[in-house]
Amino acid sequence: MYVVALTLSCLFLALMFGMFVCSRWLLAGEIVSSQRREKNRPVWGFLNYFENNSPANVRNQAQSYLLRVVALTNATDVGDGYLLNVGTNTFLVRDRYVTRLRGVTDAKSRHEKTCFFVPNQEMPSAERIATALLMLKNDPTLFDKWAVKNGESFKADGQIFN
Amino acid sequence: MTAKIQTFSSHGDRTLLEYDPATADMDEVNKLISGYEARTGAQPFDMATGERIEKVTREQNEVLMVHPVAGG
Repeated sequence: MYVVALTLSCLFLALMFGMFVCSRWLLAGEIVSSQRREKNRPVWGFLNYFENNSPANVRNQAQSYLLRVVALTNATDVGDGYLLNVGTNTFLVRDRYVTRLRGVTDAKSRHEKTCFFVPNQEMPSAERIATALLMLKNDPTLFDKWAVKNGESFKADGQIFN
Repeated sequence: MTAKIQTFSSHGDRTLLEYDPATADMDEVNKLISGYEARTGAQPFDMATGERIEKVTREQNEVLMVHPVAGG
């Protein structure tokens, strides 16, 4: 009787773990679950999963991606944010908010500051900043849209996403 | 040579799709990207130039799907 109960408990735990892993993939909206196909992947793949997704590893990945985006957008790290020049605009991009330092006079709105957020609240801050840098570099008018249309989501092409 | 379609997530950057640009059916790749954009609103950026792209070609080896951003 004890053995049966123990076996059922183990099966239940394994099922819960499987559901947890699958839900993380589904929530991320993955097209194909080809995440990190590594060579020489150990047999105990679940340990590898936890290693790749440890908070420190995620932070490091996010930080290195941000550095690439900073270089691509010619932004400058000023300590408490990133200065981004786009046309006549200069933005100071920080986590969750952007300040327009230059370009207010010819802009569509007089806003100097706006908050921004991505639907995935758990995204590392470095990747939130990288997202804002890429979007503003390609379309600086997004700043005015973020400032005026409180709570509306905008795609990179400026279209509202519902 | 492998090309990658990636996105940001709560787990850091995630690879959504890997393919060989020399042999892959690019219509199929773009169809998958369109489907992902329809579901999530994310749009493709070429990570060699940092520019938004309409369609992925064989020349792009790394594409980042950038999710929508809301103001507040």
